[in-house]
Amino acid sequence: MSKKTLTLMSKDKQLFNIEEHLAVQSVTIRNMVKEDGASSVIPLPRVDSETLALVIEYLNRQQAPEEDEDYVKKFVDERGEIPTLLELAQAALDLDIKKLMDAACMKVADLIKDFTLEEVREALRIENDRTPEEEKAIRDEFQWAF
Amino acid sequence: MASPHQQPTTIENLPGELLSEILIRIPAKPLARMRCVSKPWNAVLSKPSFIKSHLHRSMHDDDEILLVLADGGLCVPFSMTAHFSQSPRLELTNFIKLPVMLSQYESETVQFLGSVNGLICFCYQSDNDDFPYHITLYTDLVIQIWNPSLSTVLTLPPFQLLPNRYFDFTNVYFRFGYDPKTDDYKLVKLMSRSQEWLQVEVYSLRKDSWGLLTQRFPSHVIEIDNEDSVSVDGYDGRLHWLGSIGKEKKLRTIVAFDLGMETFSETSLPHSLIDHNVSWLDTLGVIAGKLCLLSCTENLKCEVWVMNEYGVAESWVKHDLLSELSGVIYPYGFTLSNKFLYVTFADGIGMYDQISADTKIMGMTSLHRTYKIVRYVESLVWMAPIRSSILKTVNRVRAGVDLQAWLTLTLIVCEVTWGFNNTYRKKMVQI
Repeated sequence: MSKKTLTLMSKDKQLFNIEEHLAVQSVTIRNMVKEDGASSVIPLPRVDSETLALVIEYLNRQQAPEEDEDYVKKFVDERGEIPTLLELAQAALDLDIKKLMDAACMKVADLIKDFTLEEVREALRIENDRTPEEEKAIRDEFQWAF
Repeated sequence: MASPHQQPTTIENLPGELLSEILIRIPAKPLARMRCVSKPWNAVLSKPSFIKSHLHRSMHDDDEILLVLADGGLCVPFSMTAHFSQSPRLELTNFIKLPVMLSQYESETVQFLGSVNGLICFCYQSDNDDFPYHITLYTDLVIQIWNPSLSTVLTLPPFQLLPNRYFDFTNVYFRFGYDPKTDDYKLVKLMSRSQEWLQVEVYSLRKDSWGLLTQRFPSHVIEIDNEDSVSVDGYDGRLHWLGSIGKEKKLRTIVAFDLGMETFSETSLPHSLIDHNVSWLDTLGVIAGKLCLLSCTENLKCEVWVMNEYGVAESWVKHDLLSELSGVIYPYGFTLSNKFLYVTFADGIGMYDQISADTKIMGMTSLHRTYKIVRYVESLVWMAPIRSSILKTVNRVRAGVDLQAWLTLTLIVCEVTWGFNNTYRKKMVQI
């Protein structure tokens, strides 16, 4: 009997095939399969195709359990760009793939923890929503942390 | 599978859940700085639920770091060293900078009062040139709560009840704990004179003030053991003392203080130990969230008794946890990760992991010093009490005269800034 295959559909309507026993590492997919076993295509409206390709690559890994920790670390290390890591972390969070989510968030945290405020805002494209006066007030308050 | 060019992700259009998942993995000090990034970040970082999750994560991190605080001996300064529990002999250098006050004061005046959730409470004698350091003048006692992960320190306001005279044999005991129900940190001060318990005072971090209790410490308890060497007590919102009853001090009891209700209660010891000779080695601790008693028998074999159901004397169960260890050991207690800490004359401080049956030696012991061991925890607790200046009133007393008659209110203007510029200034203005 051939292994059962699932089809996942990304936000931009691309289709990806993956064997069911690998796909169910995602708790979200596992629950969908349980509830609605016969479903042919699983839509993932929040995950773009580039990110979904990465997630599928991760789910398809052939790692011995004892090497898994190192593998997932290396996997995210190789995708050191913050926007990619954020997309990956968000997808792993939505799909409930704990190890991947942990590793991706840890990588982002490690990257930004020594950044200056300006660098954090630039890397994560955050708008400074304080007026210069408000900015000065809060910087004065937390001056001891700089 | 090529996709059309997409807008790069911005964290603002990602849900707050992802932001929290990332921020929770950042140490406390950079997080304090990141409150300045934007208003939504400040909102996430100041949420009590986030602060608690961050603390929880730090406490359950596998790379446990233990801080060893050594009281000073004669001519030896107070010291603190940090060690990974995986390789405890190695000292982590430059891991934590002691507050300036701790490193500059004569060691014997510094006293460690307790530690919980990454906060360390200690006291020291402020400058008083008229008296030698070893004479404790409670009026000049400065009590502080220190958050090493944020490098911040808070000076407590003065308490009300002071010993009457210098040499009246008044004992003062302090203990520091956390109450999860009210999310508050409290310092309890017990005072006894001529075997009589005086009114109890409790400091609340939330209120930043001391309060007097109406209930007193149980009067039939003559003596207490105030040791809290590993400082894991107080996690369930209670502090515990091992007390002896009656003039002969043969009977024993456990006195508990509920930090939320601010009431005392008593719990019986295991039946077989109630009238067993009091050993100075006996100590209370917490193992896997349960109150335990480390009891050393006459042949210096240590037994661990665990109270399975809190407050139920019948639920004490003897555990044969330490049968692997031989020889004379001085039990300290259990770490947060349930490793047993002890001292031997030959090796100094040792750490025994019951699960792997593995013993690690930390070493570094001197008979003249007392060691306290606490877990280092990244903590955002008490993020911002340090403003550019804090006004604190302190009782100060003219030297050599009856204390209470000469209470002088002094305003201390403290300006504390640590970290990069590392300065500590204290100005005193008398009114």
